[in-house]
Amino acid sequence: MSKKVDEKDLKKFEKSINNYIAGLFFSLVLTAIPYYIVVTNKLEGDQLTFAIIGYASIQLAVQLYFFVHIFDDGKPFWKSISFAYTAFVVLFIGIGSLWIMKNLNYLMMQMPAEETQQMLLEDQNFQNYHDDSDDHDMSHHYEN
Amino acid sequence: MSDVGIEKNNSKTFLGFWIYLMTDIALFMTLFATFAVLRGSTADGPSGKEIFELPYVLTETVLLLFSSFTIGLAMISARYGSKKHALILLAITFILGMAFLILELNEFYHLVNDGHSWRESAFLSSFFTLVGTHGAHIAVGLIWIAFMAYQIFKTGLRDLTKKRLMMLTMFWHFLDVVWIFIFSIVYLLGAS
Repeated sequence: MSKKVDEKDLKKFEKSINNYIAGLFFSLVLTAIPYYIVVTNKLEGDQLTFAIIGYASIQLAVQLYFFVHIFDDGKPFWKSISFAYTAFVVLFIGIGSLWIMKNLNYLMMQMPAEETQQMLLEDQNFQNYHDDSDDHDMSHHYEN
Repeated sequence: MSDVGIEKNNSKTFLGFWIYLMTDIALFMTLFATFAVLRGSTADGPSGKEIFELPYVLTETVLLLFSSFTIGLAMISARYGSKKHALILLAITFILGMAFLILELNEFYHLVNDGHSWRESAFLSSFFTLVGTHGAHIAVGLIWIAFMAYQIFKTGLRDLTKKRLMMLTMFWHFLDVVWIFIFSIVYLLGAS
């Protein structure tokens, strides 16, 4: 390395190193938190799922920014664009697949239509939902 | 002296490699979706809760995280012309990555030895496929790191070498990110 180091270069160098140290620190914290949550059983079920995936997503963003410099100082624009497109594809196909497979699961159960509907409604927490089109007797809409 | 020229002059190569990484993300996404669908299909075999050891996996995660850190520092060293630092940091990255791989292979070995191989249930099939594919990527990455270290040792920090090192760094960061999701979705959610 040359003895006469540029002021600007030194600043850039420090910034780069600091970026990586910050990224490492945040990633460690964002790993420790969900680990702690799971090990001490602080959350359950859906809440747990959302919390863990949430922390993973935040760590993804942290690593992308600090390690991969993705949204930093107007770097190659195409990086952000292609990443955004990939994210779109991932969400679309990922969530789509899970949705379809869950529905196939319902259909595979070979229950009469009413039971399937009941099960779907229970899963979506509409326990007391009542579909009027199934009724011939509308008296429950009238008082007395 | 850092060199901004590298990115400007090789932007097509970097674009190509970046797009490859995007397709790799799509690949892993399909493996994740498959795992998510099949995670409950444990047949007569064990569920995640019974076979995952969280402290062990946390160790793997921390190892990989530090290796991502050191390879980033190696890239910075290369940018600023320090061959010695780049080599040392690449060596550390290699050791950390190798430690991760050994731990993972050990986990697989014990699972298969206990009779819980990928043949036992759909859950295990998808588990081994997802985690195994990631492990295969890590293995290739380690070979690449070894090659880069040899290159830097023999021919110094040429522009071409730095270009390749940048792509390796992107690749390695990508692998760490995928592991974060494996750790979260497979192990954390599986063991709870």
